[in-house]
Amino acid sequence: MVFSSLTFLLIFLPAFIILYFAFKGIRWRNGVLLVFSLLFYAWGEPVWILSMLFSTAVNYLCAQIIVKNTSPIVRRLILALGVIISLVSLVYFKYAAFFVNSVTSFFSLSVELPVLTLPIGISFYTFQILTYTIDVYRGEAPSQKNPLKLLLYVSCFPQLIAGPIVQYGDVANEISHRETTVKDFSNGMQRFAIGLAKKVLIANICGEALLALPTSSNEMSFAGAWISAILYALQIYFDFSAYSDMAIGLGKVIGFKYKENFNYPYISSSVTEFWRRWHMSLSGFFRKYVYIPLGGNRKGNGRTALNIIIVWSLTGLWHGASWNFVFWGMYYGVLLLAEKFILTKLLDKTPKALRHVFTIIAVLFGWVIFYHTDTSNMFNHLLAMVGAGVEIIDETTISVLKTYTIFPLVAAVLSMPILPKIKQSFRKREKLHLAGSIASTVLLSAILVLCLLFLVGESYNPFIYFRF
Amino acid sequence: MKYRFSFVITLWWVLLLGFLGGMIIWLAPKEERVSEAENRNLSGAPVLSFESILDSSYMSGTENFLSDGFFLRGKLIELSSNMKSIFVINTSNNVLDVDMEKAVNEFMDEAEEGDSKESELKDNKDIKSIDFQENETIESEIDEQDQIPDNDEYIFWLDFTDGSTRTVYTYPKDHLDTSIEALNEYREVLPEDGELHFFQIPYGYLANLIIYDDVNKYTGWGCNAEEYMQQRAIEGVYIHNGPEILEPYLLDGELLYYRTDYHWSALGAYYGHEGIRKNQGLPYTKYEDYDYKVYEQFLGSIYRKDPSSKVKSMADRLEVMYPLFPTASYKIDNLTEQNEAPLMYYNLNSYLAFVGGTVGPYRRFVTGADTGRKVIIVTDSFGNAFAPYLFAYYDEVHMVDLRPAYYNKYIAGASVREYLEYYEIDDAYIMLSTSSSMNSGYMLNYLTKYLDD
Repeated sequence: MVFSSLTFLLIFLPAFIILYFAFKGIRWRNGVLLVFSLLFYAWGEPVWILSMLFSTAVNYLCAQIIVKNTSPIVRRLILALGVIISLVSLVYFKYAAFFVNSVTSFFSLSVELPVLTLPIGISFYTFQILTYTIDVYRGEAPSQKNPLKLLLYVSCFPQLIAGPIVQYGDVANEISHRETTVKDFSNGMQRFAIGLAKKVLIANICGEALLALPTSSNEMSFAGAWISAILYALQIYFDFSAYSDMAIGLGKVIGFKYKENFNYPYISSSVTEFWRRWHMSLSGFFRKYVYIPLGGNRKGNGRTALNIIIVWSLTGLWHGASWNFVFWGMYYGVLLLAEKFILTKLLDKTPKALRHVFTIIAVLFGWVIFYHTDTSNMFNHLLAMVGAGVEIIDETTISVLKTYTIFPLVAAVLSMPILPKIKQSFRKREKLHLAGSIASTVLLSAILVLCLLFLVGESYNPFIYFRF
Repeated sequence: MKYRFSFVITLWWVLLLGFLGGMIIWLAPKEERVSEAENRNLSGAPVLSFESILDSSYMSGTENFLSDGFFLRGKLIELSSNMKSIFVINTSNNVLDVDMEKAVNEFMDEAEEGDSKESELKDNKDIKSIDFQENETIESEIDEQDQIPDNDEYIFWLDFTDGSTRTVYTYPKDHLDTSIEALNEYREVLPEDGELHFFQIPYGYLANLIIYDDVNKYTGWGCNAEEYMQQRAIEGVYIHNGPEILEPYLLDGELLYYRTDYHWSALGAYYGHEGIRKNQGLPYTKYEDYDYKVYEQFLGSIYRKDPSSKVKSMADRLEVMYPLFPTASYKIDNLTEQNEAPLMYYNLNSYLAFVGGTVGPYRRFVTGADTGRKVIIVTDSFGNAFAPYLFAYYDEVHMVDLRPAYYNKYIAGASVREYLEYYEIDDAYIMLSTSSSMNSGYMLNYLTKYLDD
């Protein structure tokens, strides 16, 4: 089920909230949340719920054994077992076909593989369950004795399918003890409405515009190539951050305080800064569970460089089983290394505006790599962006520019932290703050109606990050 | 105070959303029904069963039911479309219709006012945009194409009075190769003596340009893609040149198309079928052999987009044929689940009258003929007016529309190949309009994808 579906908005959400708050005790509320979370997942993937249950059961047992054992070897073996079993499931569903196809095509072999459907959100819930077992092993989080509570952590529907990746330690306490205040409820619902608007009114329309541009890279012009890169950058940001907004908002409604996942990444003035602002929960996961255990930056420059390349290759691969994602990860690995070891002094001397422009250009090239799973299309698109053998502008791009002028501009403006600054200036004066709060609630009500209006005429519109 | 106000409002959001959802479930029609405005069938309530849950069809059915059953749906879609148009000129979903409407309006204006301004037409729905070039350039291109059979691009063009041409669609060779490969693949699924016929149907506005555009004075149309495809077709695949077959009748002033709708008329579909039969040297029924229900004031989808008095004044004549033999009509789900579906909507002054509109995923007509052969028509909505003309030649006529809005593989319960084998289909007709043909996802993707998916 997707948050921007009518089934969710008109049936699931009201039914959940009414039932959830109909009960007072946390046990009952957790029960309602668990049932609805499993229903939420099963609605899209009735069969693959078994995969999630299996993964949870294995990690529950592993954590229990780890806690009860004092032998470091046994503890480490059990941890390895839990991690491997979880990753095997992820690798089998997500990467088996990719690896086999890559190997067979390299050796010109012909192997028929069964076509596997990827369980929705497997990358997200696998990482979440791993944080539990690893944190318990490290003694950074208490083990969860109640398997249903652990299942609740894994399956909790607001962040189940597309994150943010919630580390167990961050919500361990809230699973058993949490409250919702009037402020939490209204702020959470408002955040949800903002996310819905970002998805329905901005991301979907940017996606529409993108689809109207030439799909085949050899038909692209220089301007078309850049405009499609910009449109995709806007679409993916508003799409993914919309989901995070909705997840954080719904979490707040039921008393969970999820960490932010985006912080206006397109205002960054370096690639390093971009990754501090983009998909922060994923960067945080890789930093804590891969980069630092590999030695981080404590073992010399050579090892640091290797660690960065490993982490970013994995980050790329996490996004999908295709070579373009690997290239994309390595592209960022190389850029980050360059910023860290070569460009530091140069960047310090460069004016911030110029650094910002370079960062945006680097990010746009990155999105082109990310967008094209067909590598020849990807290279053609990249070549078109540097003007290699293409027209300056083509008729279709002109038509798209005439057709979709306002929404991408609005999207570009909203990708900068203008609204928070307005909000901040309102906060300084009590009367304005009150008026602003009332006005924003009314405005969001109107936006919610507008979203419904748009959704009625649209069919299924899944979030981009569902496929990861 | 501020939190209390926000809380009350946001709580109301939830309650109102729930109320709305409850009301839709309670009050929305539970049966499938026709939407004239959207030119499709609106979903009814999904059937709850273990199988429908397992294959997720219940879930997708619920979403469709809520969307299609939303109160004042038509008005809301219109409203959202109007709101979008405040910010954008048009969107990719309605570019085609809006441009078509624009084209019709433009050529009417030009015809009436004698304005010599050249109209610009664009069809963004296809992968390639319509490419208008200088007449001289096109003319020379055509000459070259006549001499060189293997170009990189093939075209659909309109002829000017002075002998020059205007390119309307450009078909890259790789699109044609992909298309003919798909057709060949379909042929291979058919029995040894099976035939596969492909017919590209020009959109209505192109015909109307030839008939009504007094400024540019077009004298005909043509397409050289079919010839290229026929050269690459395997035995048993027949690529008919739709524009060539229809052109003489069009130039004779016969009403092959409507002015207020973009489809071909029953007469246009008849000439299409007649052309195919003639090409094969087969006998065909006469148009006069059929009885027709006639509506004199048919206002089609162009009028629904632009309900102006000008378009209304162009109201068309709609003729809906009665089959020659008593025919039974079924909707087929899950390969074998057969439910009766309307054969024709004779009480509907709409293009949906033909075979009751598109009803997916599969249709089956048991025709009352006794020829020992069965046929499937893989088509978009243009096939609906064509299908009844095959009733006379086949014991069973099956239909499928593979466009995403109509085809759901989960509801179909079988791939096209499995369907063809199960019903022992002998022949196939791929009848696609220019918007669903060699530049569109229909031919380039869906045909092959759903053959085995």
